[in-house]
Amino acid sequence: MNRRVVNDMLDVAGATMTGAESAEIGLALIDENDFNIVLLDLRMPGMDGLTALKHIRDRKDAKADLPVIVVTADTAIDLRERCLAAGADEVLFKPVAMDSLFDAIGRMLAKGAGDGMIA
Amino acid sequence: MSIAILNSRATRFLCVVMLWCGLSLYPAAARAVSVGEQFDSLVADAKAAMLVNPPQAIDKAKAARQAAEVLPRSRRTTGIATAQWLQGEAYLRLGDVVHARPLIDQAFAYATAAGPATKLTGDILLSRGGLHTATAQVAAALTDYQQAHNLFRDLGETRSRAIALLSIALLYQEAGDYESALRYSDQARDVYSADPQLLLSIFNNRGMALKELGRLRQAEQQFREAFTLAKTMRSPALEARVLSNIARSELRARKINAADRTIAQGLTYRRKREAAAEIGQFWVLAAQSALQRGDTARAVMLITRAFGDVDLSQPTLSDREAHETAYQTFKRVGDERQALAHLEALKSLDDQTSKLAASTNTALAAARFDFANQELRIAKLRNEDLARKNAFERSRVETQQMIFAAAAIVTVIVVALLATSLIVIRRSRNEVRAANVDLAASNVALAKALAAKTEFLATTSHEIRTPLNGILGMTQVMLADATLGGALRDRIGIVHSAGVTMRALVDDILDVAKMETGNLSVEQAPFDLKEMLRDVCRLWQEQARDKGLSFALDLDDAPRGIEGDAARLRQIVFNLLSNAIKFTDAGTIRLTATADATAERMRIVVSDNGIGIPADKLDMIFESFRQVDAGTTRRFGGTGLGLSICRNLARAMGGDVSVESVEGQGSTFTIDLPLVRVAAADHVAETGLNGLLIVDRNPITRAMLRTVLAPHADTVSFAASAAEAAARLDEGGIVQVLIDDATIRNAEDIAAALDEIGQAARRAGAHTTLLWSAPDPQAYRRADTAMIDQLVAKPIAGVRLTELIYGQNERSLSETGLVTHAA
Repeated sequence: MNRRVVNDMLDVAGATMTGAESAEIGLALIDENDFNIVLLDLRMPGMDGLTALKHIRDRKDAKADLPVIVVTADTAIDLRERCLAAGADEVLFKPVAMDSLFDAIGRMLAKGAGDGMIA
Repeated sequence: MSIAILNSRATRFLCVVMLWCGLSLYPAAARAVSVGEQFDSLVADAKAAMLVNPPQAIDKAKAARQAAEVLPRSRRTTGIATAQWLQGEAYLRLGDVVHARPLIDQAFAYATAAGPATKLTGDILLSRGGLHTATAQVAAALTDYQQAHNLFRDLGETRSRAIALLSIALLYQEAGDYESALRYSDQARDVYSADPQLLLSIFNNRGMALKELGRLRQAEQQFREAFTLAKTMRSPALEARVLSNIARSELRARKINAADRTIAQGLTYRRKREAAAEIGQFWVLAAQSALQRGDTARAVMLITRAFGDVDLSQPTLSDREAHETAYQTFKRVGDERQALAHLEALKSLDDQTSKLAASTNTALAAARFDFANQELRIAKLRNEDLARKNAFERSRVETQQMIFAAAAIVTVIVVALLATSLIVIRRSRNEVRAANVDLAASNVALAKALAAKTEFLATTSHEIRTPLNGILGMTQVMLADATLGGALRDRIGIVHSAGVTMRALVDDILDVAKMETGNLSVEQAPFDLKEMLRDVCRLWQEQARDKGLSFALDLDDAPRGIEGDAARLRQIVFNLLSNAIKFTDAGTIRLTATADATAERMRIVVSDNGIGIPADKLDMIFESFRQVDAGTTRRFGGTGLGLSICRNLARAMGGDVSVESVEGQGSTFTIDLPLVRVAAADHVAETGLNGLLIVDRNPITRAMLRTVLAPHADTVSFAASAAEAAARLDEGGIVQVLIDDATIRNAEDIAAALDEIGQAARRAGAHTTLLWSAPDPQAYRRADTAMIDQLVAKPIAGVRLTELIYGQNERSLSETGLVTHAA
């Protein structure tokens, strides 16, 4: 349900999203495609979000620097700090306000603004 | 005036004396050479003067506050906290709550800001507890003492911990819960009994509680122990006071002869200057004794002597015992006029006391339901008990091993002795082992209980947030669709705001849990107060308008750049505004912010013309889960957590939230906070000197462009259409306009749209840049772009775009900013 929510939100801003049911599938998708941004849940069947994040950051290619936004319903006190320490670029808490999702994505895109990013 | 002192007041005094002795143990250099030493010496002076001469202590603390300003950065915050605390404590000793409160609150805020909690934080909490006790805010006092206690426990400060426990015992004593008072006094004794002064206080408190419970023999025994200690301390005032307590319990046990002996002994202290204030109560006690014997003439003589020239129309609580004795005496001898005068004094005192006791009782009853549940506390206590036992066993083993060694050297041949020793040692070891196993088990249980609680809260919150994300996510998506119209939009709007309310409830509950477990932290960071307030109000102005209310925002005297926790302050204001609008059907909602530069305080006031709050419910509304009545809950909804959270947050920031209200006419909530100014972007005019307008409809592109360009502009505003852009340009303050062609391309007449923006930009003297897509270059090359200053083809790097808009001189800055991230 929550993947669908994000998908429909991104639709509003004309962005497209590829959903993955698990971290393992997501990591495989990252291998095969060139994404601009990764949205990452923390609680998933199988591998959890922080482990998946470590897998991305441990890559040897340019994809190790993919902007990662953690989207979570957890509210542990130091969760934001833990995610940022693990290499996340931004942490959003559910329920996610559409504005803050767009804002975060926009900032991520600007951060990585190399040649031809503003299109 | 020389009158007896009400028991519990007397013990509180004792406790304060004890606390002070602890403070003077702080290390402090006497010679003032460097800045730090000068500060230390002022602090030492203030502490020394505290007990004997509080006004002098105030002067010294003020000087220390000045000295703290020039302390090295690492010590400054703690230094200010110490100085403010000492000044506040001195005012508290003078009974000047009005001056004491802001000082102690500031001290607490500074101590909190200085970093992890230290003994100073605990001492300030104890003072604040005293402040709350003095103003009959029992629940708050209890919270402070408990926090202080937990802090001292974690820091291993056993003596201070015992003082905190004693303070709690006194609270219970005042509430008439003598069993609890006794229990806490016992705990204090178990925690620390190495200090005769503290021990004296404990004995005296235990005696007091036992006496009220009717266990007179034990009470007397405790008082006698206290008396022995008072003698070793050579304090006539303390000796006299404890003696009066002995006499009281003897009189109550009808041991008249013994009581007379004690009273006579007490009266001998009138020759000692330090004990002068204690003598009056012995005349009262003597009168009581005479009354018990039936010698009414003597009783009249004694009680008259005790009262001297006191004005009966202005009774104070400390005279209660004297008034009661006088009333009984005069009634017995038939002096109706005198008896009535004392009875009236008694009644007015009792009205005060019962009001106090009632509120104290309610507060304590509520406190029992506090979050850390009883079982946890029992487990903790048991744990400590086991730890003590364990240490005891260990020391026993050590002693026995020594004996064993000695025996082995001296008489190697006494095999029998050796064998015996071995057996004993083995048994002791087993006991230690058993105790260790118990301890481990208890630890595991404790850890499990704590983990279970945390887990429960986390899970509940997670499980509610996940479906809520679905609800709110989809309502946002639907509401973003411009083609959605009329009734359907309204209905989805209702679902959306219901969802938002639900999210606020989940947040509230989590906040309360954090507060109860002491995990709520307040940040200190600079922010723009005016901007923040304007932003919160923007949300509620619309709601007010929809309800037909007017909304007045007065920020003329508000500070701009301040240091504090913007998110938490925003939460408080948000809550107050939400309440104001919720409880008002017609009239005006008003928000005013002002700074009081001299007192370093600021105030944010939210007022309304709503239903108001009945006078007798004003205190209640700040308690958790309370609304004025159950009907209010049905009519207006809400958990009743909001105001409790507001107050807790404000207090955590070193301030408070207070309320004034007239039922049926409206309420005024005032947030009072310490003011720490920082250099603000005050030079930026309200409209912005170097404003950037981005004409773009897409929210993601907007955020991206803002991130790239915002470092070069004072303000960034957005427009979604040509008309909107023109209107914004006419408002003024815009120097650069950036137009994304994707937004204009949907317009019916692209040329007209660009023309409209271009014209407005010319009027405003702004420079225009049009971002256009590469695949369709010709479309913009014609007359369409006559009014546009610059064309930039997409895609383009952020660095390059910045250069094109803001010129070459910005190059180095923008490149370092972006290349780092792009690498």
